[in-house]
Amino acid sequence: MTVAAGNPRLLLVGLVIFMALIGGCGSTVTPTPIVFKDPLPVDPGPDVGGLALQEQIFADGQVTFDEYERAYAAAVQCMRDEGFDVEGPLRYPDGYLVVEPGWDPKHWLSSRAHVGDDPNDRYGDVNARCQAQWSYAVGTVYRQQFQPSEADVQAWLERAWQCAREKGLQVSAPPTVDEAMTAVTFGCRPWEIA
Amino acid sequence: MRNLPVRRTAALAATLVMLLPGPAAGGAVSSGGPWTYSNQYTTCQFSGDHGSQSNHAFARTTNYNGGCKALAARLKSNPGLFDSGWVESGLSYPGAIQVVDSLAGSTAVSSRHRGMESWWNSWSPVKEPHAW
Repeated sequence: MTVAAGNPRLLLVGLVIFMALIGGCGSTVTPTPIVFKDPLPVDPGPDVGGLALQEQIFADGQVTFDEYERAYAAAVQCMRDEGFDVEGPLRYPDGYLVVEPGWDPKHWLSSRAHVGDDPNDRYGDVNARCQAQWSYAVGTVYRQQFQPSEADVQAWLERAWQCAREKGLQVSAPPTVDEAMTAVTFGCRPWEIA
Repeated sequence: MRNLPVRRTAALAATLVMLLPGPAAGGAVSSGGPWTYSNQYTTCQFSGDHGSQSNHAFARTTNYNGGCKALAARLKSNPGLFDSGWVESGLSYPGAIQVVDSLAGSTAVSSRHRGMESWWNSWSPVKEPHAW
């Protein structure tokens, strides 16, 4: 995907992302055991912050899945550095299935944290901070190249509703987005149908 | 009286059908909202659900009034009390975002939800159908 510098919409997204990154934490990250297919032009090494990593990733105007996975791995490592037991990055169909009408879940990586019973929900704060610092911007730009059109979304929903009917699930008239999402939890895969 | 065996058979069959889990009987779902997050320009209403359907835990945030620019969901599930962290919708105009635990036999413990209003692009306070 090319990040067009002349595109006002992309510039706005970039500004929002930059503002989000300013609030990120300043901790460092250690190397992860993930092996990446496409090395960065210059590997930033283990001691640079999230902004430096993202500058490397955005340098050629493209964000590949490999680069997204690298940024996500850094976010996961950030959470581990905070003391949490986190599995990831997990690729579809492992981990969590992230479903949004019109989208293919394979464009999302996920992580699974063993949090136990923490009434203070410290993990929520750490998760949000590490994602903002390391992976949010890269993931957002990576997925932008797959943004579905309104027609794509509608076709996705129609396939989900049809599958729901075939499974005997309730589909009202007119059908709802919730019913399409429920169809997915019952095994419908509207993103896989040609 | 001649029809009694037939009636008994029919009653037995009806009872069995009622006891069989139908496709829509996917387990209890906890719902919350709609919650309203607004400013003087826009209103984002969103709702949240979590539960277990077809042997998998899920959490879902729905754009209730169509006025939310983005949505986020977070799931806590058993066994093991695992946390998905925040999962946010993509850049398209979303109707819903859902996170499903791929672990068969997983059950939802709780969920958290947020909606983004479309004027300042700010996130709502965190909402939850039940205490996290």
